[in-house]
Order: sequence, then C-alpha cells, then structure tokens
Amino acid sequence: MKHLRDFFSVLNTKTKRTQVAIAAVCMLIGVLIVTQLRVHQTASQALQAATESDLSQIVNNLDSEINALRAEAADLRLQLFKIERASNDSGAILKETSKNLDKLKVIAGLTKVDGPGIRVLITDEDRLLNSYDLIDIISELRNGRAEAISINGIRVVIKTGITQNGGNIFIDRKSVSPPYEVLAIGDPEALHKALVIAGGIRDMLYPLPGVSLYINKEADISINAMVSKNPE
Amino acid sequence: MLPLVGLLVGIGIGLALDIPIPVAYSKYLGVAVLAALDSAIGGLRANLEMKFNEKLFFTGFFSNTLMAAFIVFMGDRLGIEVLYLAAVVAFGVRLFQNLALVRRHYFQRRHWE
Repeated sequence: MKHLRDFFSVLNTKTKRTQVAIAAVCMLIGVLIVTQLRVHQTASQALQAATESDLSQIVNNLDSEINALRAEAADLRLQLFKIERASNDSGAILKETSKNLDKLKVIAGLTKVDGPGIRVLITDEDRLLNSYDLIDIISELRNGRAEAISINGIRVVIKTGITQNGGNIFIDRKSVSPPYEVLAIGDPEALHKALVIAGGIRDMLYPLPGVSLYINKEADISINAMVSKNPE
Repeated sequence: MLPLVGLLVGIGIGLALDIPIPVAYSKYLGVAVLAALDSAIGGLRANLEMKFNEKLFFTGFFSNTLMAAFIVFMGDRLGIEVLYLAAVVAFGVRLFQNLALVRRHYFQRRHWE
C-alpha cells in the first residue's frame, strides 16, 4: 500500500520526468544485459567453467582429432585414386574383350556382317564343279582376308562342311546347285586379286566348259548370320 | 522506484525477444552495457544533487554507449585489442565514484531527516 502510494507520488512530483527518463534508460540496460548474458551463456557455457589445463586438454584433443581426420582423408583419397585407376583398367579390358568378342562372332558366323566386298557369280552349265572347287574358291577368298563368306545365302565359317554325294554338292548338309553366288566381305581389291591371281582359281576353272566367273566389287554387301539349329 | 520497474521490464523484454548477437560482437555489447550502467548511475547521482538535466542525461547515455563500442572497434582495427580496457577502466572508475556519491547522498539525507 505504501509502495503504491510512493509510486503515485513519484508520478505526481516535479521529478516525474526525470524518473521516467532514468527508468527508460534502465529498461535499455536491462535489455542489453540480458542479451549479453545470453550470448555468453550459449557461446562459452562449457568453456567458461573449464580450467586452463582443461582447455589445453580440449585443444590437444581437437588437434589430434584434426590430424586423425586429415590422415583419414588422405587414406580415402588414395583409395579413391586406386579404385578409379582399377575401374579405368577394367573398362579398357572390357572394351578390348568386347572388341575381340565381336571379331570372334564374325569369324564364327554368329552375327550379320555388312561392308564392302565382292560378289562372285559362278555358272556351271554342265555340273562339272565338285566340292573341292568350291573349297578352293573359299580358301582363295580366305587368303584374300575375307571376313565373312556365303554361298547361295549359306554362311560359310570354319566348321562349315562342304561335301559331295554323286553329282550333288552339300554345304552343311544343304543341297546347293549352280549357278553359285559367292559373297565375301573384306577389302574388295584384295579379294579380287586373290581370285584372279595368275595360276589361281580362275585360271584353274577357266578351261572347264560352261564354267565362268563373274566378279563384281561392291561397296555394301550384307551377309546373314549362320542359321543354327541350336543357337548357343 | 520507477527505474527499478524499468530495469525489470527491460530484462523481461530481453528475455522475451532473445535478440541473437554473434559471439564476435559480444565484447562490444559488454563495454556498451558498462557505459550504459555508468550513465544510469551518473543520472541517479545528478538527480540526487538536484542538477539533473534530461538532455544531458540522454545524450550522455547514447554517446557514452556508442563511444565505448567505437573504442573497442578501433582497438580491433588498429591491432590494439586491449584498447577496450581504456573504456572499461574509465567507466569502471566513474561507476564506483558515482556509486559512492549516491550512497553518501542517501546517508546524508537520512542523517538530516
């Protein structure tokens, strides 16, 4: 009750404005002090209580932690480098292997092949040619580095058998009859040369009546994959 | 009485607002608080000596506070980080002097009564 009366008397005195002014300043001081205490409390609550040796211990710990992390970072960087190199290596190996695989597939006749080559038409009106003549032609084409060969649409590969039974010629047990259309993919010049070389297959077949070779160099020939009963 | 109420209200506002201040600036704020405290006690003393002047009080309060912070800033800029000690000592000494005078005034008054 007395306080309340004091309060009102203060408000009514001439020094009222003075009091209000000081109160306002005190309010500002209060805000400042609380803010400052807050900052210090959050910033260094743990560190303030620590002694000097504790602080040096903390600093030491942090230093060793930094060193450990640096070492770990270096280790990881090294590991990353190794893995990157290994992946590069394995990538190169994979590329090389798939290239080889493609080559082997072509040789084994598992894939369709496109490219420049020659088209040879062999007529045989009197059916004088035998299986060995065809084998000779294929051998000559292989000498001319043919990548893929087919006779009458049948792909000829390493394991292809060319056989004869009486007057009939069989390629992989499929009967073929003249005229024979032989396709070969490779360097057209080399293939042409392999067939027309002096003393070669053309000269050998030339004397036979009714047999003639028509050789065409073509820019784009396509040979289908070997038809296999058990594709594997 | 009223100044005490003001102080409490100020503390309440500070707690309620929770003004975020970077740790780097806490030194400035500390010196500013000291300067403000000095101004407040000085105002109290002037009031008791019956020569209180509002304009003087307010300008003194703000200029002291800003100057204190500025001295700390200058110290940091000039490479004399301990320059803030000048402000601390100056305001500290004045704080105690004013406090002693305020105390004396109260006791003398009571003695007269």
